[in-house]
Amino acid sequence: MQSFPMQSFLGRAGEQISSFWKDVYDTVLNPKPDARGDTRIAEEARARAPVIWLLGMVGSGKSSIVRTLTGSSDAEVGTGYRPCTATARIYEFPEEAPVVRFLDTRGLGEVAYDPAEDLALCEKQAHLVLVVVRAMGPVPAPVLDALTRVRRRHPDWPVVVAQTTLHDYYGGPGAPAHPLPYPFGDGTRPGGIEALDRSLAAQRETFAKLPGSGAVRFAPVDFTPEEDGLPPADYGVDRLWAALEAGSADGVVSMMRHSLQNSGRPGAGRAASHIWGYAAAAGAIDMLPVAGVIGVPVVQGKMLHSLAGMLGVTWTRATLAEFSGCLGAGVLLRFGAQFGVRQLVKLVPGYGTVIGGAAAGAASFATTYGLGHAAILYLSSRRSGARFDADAVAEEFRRAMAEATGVAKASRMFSRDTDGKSGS
Amino acid sequence: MKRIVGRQGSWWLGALAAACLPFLALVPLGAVWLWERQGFVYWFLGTALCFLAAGLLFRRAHRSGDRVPPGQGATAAGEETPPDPGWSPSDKVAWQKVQGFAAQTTGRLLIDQRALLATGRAVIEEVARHYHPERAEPLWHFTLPEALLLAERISRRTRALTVQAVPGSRSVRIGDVLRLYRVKRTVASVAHSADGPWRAIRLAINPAQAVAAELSRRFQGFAVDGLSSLMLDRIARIVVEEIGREAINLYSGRLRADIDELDRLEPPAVAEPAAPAVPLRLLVAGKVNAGKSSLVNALCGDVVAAVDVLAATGQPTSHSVRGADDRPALELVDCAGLERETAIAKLVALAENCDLVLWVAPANDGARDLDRRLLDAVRGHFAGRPQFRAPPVVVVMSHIDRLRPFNEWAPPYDVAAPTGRKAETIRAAMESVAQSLGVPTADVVPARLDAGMLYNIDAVWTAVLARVPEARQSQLIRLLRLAGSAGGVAGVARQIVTGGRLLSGLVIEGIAGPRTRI
Repeated sequence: MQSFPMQSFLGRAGEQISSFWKDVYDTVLNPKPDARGDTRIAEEARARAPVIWLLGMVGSGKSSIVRTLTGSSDAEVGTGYRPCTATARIYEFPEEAPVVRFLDTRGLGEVAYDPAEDLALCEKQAHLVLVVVRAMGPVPAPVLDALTRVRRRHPDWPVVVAQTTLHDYYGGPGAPAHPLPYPFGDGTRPGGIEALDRSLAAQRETFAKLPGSGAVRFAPVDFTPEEDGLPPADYGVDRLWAALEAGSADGVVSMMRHSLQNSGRPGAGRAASHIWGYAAAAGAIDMLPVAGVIGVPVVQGKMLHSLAGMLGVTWTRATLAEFSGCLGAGVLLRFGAQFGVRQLVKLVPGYGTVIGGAAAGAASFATTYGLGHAAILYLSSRRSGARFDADAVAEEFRRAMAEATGVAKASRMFSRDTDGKSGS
Repeated sequence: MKRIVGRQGSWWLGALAAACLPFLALVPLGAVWLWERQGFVYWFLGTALCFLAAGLLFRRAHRSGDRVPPGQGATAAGEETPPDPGWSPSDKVAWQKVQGFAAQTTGRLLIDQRALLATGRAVIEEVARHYHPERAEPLWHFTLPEALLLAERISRRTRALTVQAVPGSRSVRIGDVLRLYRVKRTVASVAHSADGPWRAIRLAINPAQAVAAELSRRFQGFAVDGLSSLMLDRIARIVVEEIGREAINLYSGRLRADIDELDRLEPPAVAEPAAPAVPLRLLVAGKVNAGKSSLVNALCGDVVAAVDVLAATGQPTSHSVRGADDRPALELVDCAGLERETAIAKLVALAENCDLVLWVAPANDGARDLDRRLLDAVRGHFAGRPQFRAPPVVVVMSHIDRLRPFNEWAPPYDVAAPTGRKAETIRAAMESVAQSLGVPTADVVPARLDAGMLYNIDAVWTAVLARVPEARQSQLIRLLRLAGSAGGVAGVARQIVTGGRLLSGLVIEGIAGPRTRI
């Protein structure tokens, strides 16, 4: 008696898995132009992507920061923006399924510009405020005014201050050079150039007077193009990442960092930067009681197709079967059973839609993320012709899935109580 | 006829007639001769042809004379004399109104003294109303010192004009002139008791009448000497313009200080007046940390202002720069760092009291919105006050060493024809600064202001010196404004009381006289 529902569940789970893989196969092998699906994926990813609010004057180095953090070239950042309001714009990266969004409040402090408008529109998505100021001289009044207003409304919001264009202080007859190793530590230690240290300290004092309780972290940085001859070109980027990660306690930024690192490089690095967005979209789509235009398998299929494109490989029925096979029958079955149960629970009215939906979202997020990383490993070895290691692929799948599950739980990004936050 | 040649002239006329009679007699004799020789028809045809040719030639001469008034090519269409270069926009509007009167003037005006007087009064009243629209009696809105100075100016001009334009005027005795005035006097009792002073006062009190009297008398002579009507028209316009010019000088308050005195501080034999009494005041303005204090130090050639990475100055400070051989004495006002738009009021107040603005804009800072808004606020302030004159603006683009490539600093850089990358960047930054601040690129001077690493300060000096004449005009208007605010109605009243009964009586008589008796 007792085994009957279990058997039934397993049976139905098996059906689910086979239909799941069938959908994935179909999407990967017979990609159809699907503008609505692509839009949907981009929208869902966008809704989940952490928003870093860049606050600073024109020419303070905001675009350099966007470029360096995303590892993206000018063009990619340039095409990936959309206007938010008349004055603010949002840089999304990557465009098709954004991992991160940079809210750039350009022209801050202009006569006709009221930052309150941007606040109202974007405050629900902003993970943290990244203030960009030139290290030289006092903090510009418009920046300070806007930040003070932000912190009055959100006293707990963390603030990261990027202090840019350090090289203005190196002036002299000799060639300027960054002090190495990076001397500023957590952004509060002196760097050894007297005028610069005093200016940085004065800026820290100014920010200490901000209202609110959220931590304020500092990162003296100098991001310059290679041809400027100021190596390293991303001076202080690790410190900036550390400050951003510390500012976002739930680990989302940390994971985003892994997704973004090396995204400027061709091949695996760039491909990896796309996984987060697809995973976030899959998770978000799965949270809905009834999937709308597209389902999770379609998202995953599109992701696999896109990753192969970036790596310069084409999926065939054989390689796809090999890939799904090397994930390991046990792994796949366990995951599939879990997946199936979640899906079934999701269909239970009331209770299921609330709890199950949330769990299903996290599960879909984690599996998509794992699948993507496993696929990159598999496709990379296929492309290079190296010996194919099925266990390594399975291990990468498990590792990435566990990582994503942890982040999803910690950030509660797929739980219902945060759903209202992302309902843009 | 009698009016033109005078009483004694009838004897002259008789003599002239007697002398001409033999020649006049030739006319009927010639006609008889033609009649007898049957050549009268040919003579008639020849005469007709000559008249035709004369008519054509006259039309031609009239047209070309109309089109190109000799020696007036530079002035605006319809103007006989150019407006003064130092006038403010408000003065130029008044000049336009004067031009309106001048355009309607004909040569008849010079012969008809009544018409000249009426036109002169109308011009002066129009100018007075332009400057003091709020007054019920704008005509009398000037101070006694102004009036006396006006009298002096008119006297001087009249003398110059007389010597130049009236042959033999040097031999005319003053007694004759005074006798003429006595004949035409309007305030008989005053004229009897104090003829000389009265002339001066009358010139001051009613410039229109005085000028009209002088000019009308003179040009009557010209008229009978056979000037063409075209010439008369032009002279009439000049007369109206001169009346308007002096009225503008009077009512704009420009006569509160003696402009010519400033000009003649040094005798003309010495080259240029090197150091006028009041040093030019330069406002050094710009955002926080733009390099204002560094510029002040560079221009002073000494460390007088504190320079630091942190905003050092909170209040405006003033520094004197002594004049050198080729440089005027300056007063540099180091404006406190302008951080936000709330500084507009302070900046405008400072700009109103300065003669030239040195705007310091860092080359490497693209955030120039605040600069532009502050500058526009200053421009708007002066645009809304045409009686003021906006100080010229020179932009000093600082920190050019911090432009790309960062590790290069090998001056000099030729920004006019940039060759290297650094020079190109500097040029591009200059254009960007010029565009964002709304100034011509020529007014942007790139410079490095760090102590010990100064570069292109000479160019800053050159730019300042090029603007000195313009700045002097701003200074003059600023000083006049100060002189005006120091006096006022009460002050004038006090001066009249202490100046004695006679003078005040003259003033009152002079004011009342022309209005009631003419």
